[in-house]
Amino acid sequence: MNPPFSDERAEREWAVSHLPEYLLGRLDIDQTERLGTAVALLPGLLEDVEEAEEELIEQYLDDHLSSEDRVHFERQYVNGDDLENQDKLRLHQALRSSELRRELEPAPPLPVRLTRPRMLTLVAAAACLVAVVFAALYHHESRRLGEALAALKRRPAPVQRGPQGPPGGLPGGGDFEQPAGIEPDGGLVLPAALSGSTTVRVAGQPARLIWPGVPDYRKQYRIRIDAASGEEKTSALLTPRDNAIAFSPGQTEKMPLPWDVFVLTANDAGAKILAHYLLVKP
Amino acid sequence: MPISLPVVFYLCDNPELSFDDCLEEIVGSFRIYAKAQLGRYSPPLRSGSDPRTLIYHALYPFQDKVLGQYLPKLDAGRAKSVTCIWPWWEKQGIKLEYGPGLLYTLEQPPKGHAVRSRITLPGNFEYQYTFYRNDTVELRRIWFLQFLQEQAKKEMRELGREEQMDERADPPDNRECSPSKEYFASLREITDLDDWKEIDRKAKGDSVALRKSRSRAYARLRAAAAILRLREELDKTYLTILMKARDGERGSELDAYLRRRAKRAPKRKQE
Repeated sequence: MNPPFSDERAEREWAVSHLPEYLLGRLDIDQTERLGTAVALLPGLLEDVEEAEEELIEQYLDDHLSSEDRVHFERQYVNGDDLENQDKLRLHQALRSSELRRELEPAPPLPVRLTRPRMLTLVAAAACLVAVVFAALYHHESRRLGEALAALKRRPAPVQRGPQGPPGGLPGGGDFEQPAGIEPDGGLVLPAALSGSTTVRVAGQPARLIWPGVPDYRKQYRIRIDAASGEEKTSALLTPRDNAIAFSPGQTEKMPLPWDVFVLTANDAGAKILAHYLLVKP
Repeated sequence: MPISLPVVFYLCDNPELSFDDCLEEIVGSFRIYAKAQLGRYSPPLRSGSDPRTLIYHALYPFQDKVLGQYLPKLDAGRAKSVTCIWPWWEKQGIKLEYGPGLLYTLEQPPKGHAVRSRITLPGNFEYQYTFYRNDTVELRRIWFLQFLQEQAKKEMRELGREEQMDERADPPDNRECSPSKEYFASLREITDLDDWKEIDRKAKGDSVALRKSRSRAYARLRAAAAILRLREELDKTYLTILMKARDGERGSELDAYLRRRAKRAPKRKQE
C-alpha cells in the first residue's frame, strides 16, 4: 500500500474537523475509513480523538447537546453496538456519581468558629500539654538511656567474658574482639556498626574517634565516652562527612582505659544507642 | 505471563512504552479504521467482532508474516510484491522464491517504497514486482491496515455476511441511559481508586507522560466495565480475582486481563 497522504497537514486538519461528525456517527464509511487511516498513521491524532470524545460525553451529561445531536449521540453511546462506547459513557457517569465523588473529594473538615479569648485559651492549653509531654518523655528516656549505659558499664572486663556475651548487654549483643584502624594522627576508626557491643583493643587513649557508616547522612549524632574512672565526655552534635562522624575528646589523661564508647542519635529526649564499643588495652 | 504479541513493538516506535501501552496504543489508533472495515464488510447488527477483537485477530497473521520465515514468492507472468521486513535484509539481500525449491537472492533492492521493478532470474526469465521497504513505523502501519481489511473480509467469507452475529454475546443489556447505583458500586469494587483519580484529572495541558498514564487508567477502567458484562469465561474468572484483590492491586490484574484478552482472541475464534 502506498503512503496515503500527499499533504499530511491538510489531512490532519480534515481529520480534526470531522471528529465530531464521526463521534456522532454521521460520517459515511468512506469518510470513516479515511479518518481511521489518518488516526492510525498521524502521530498525536489519537489523543485528539480521545479528547474530543470525552468532551462530547461531558457535553451530553451536562445536557449541552442539541436535541438532534443528542439523538445521534444516544444512537452511538447508549443504544449502539459498539460496547466500548457504552463503557466510556458509563465511566463518565460513574465519575459523576455521588458515591465516587465522595471518595475522590473527601469532605473538608468543618470550620470551627473561635472567639479570640477562647482561641487563646486553647493555644495556651495545647502548649502546656506539649510541654508536659516533652518533659515526661525526656525524663523517661533519660532514665532509660542512663540504665542502658550503666548496664553496659557494669560488664566485666573483656578478657574474662564468655562467648555468649555479658549479662545485661544490649539485646542481641555479640562479643567481638577485633582490631580497629589507627590513623596517623592517633585517631581511631571504629569498626563498622554491629548490633550489640564490640571490644576494641588499643594501646592508649585515642585522640579522636571516627565512626564510619552512619545510617542516615542527613542526621546528626553524638559520641559519648564513659571512662572506668567515672569521667564522662559527650560530644556536641556531630554532622556526618563522607558518611562518618568524628569526635576529639580533648584532654584524656584523667580518663584511663577501659572506655565505654556509645554512638547515640541526636534526639535528646529519646536518644538511642546505635553502637557500643569497649576500648581496652591489649 | 509471556508476551503473546511481540509484533506490537514492530508497530510502535516509542521505546519508553511497555507492551501493555503499545498494545493499547495500537488498539486505540487502529480502532476507527477497524470499525470502518466492520461497517463495510459486516451487517449493521453485527456485534460478534468489535473493533478491538478485529485488531487482535489481524495482529496474529501479521505477526506470523513478520516473525515467520517470510519468503516472497514470484509468480511467472504476474506482478507480485516483495516486502522488506527487517532493515538488515537490504544489506544481506532478500531471498525470493521463484518456483518450487528455486531461490534467488535479490542483492540490491530498488530504492524507495512501493516501486515497480523488474528482475531477470536464472533461465532468462523476467519478473515484475513491487518493492515495499517498510523501514519506518508509518510504512509498517500502512501494511497493517491491509491486514485489518483482509481480516474483515476473511471473517465475512468464513462466517457469512448474514450470520456474523455472535451467539455467545448477550444482547446489549445496558440500554438505559443511567446505570444503577449498584452498577457503580460493582465497578468501583473491581477497580483502583487511583485510576479514577487519574481520569478525573483533565488531560488538557498535561505532559505526554501524564496523558499516557491517564490513557492507561482509562483503558483499565474500560476493561473493568467490559468484565462486568460477563460475556466470556475470562470475564467471570477476572471478576472473581478482582473482587478478592485489594484497592491498589486491581490495576495490574486489569492489565493482565487485557493481555489475556488479546492472547485469547484467536482461540475464541476457533471455538
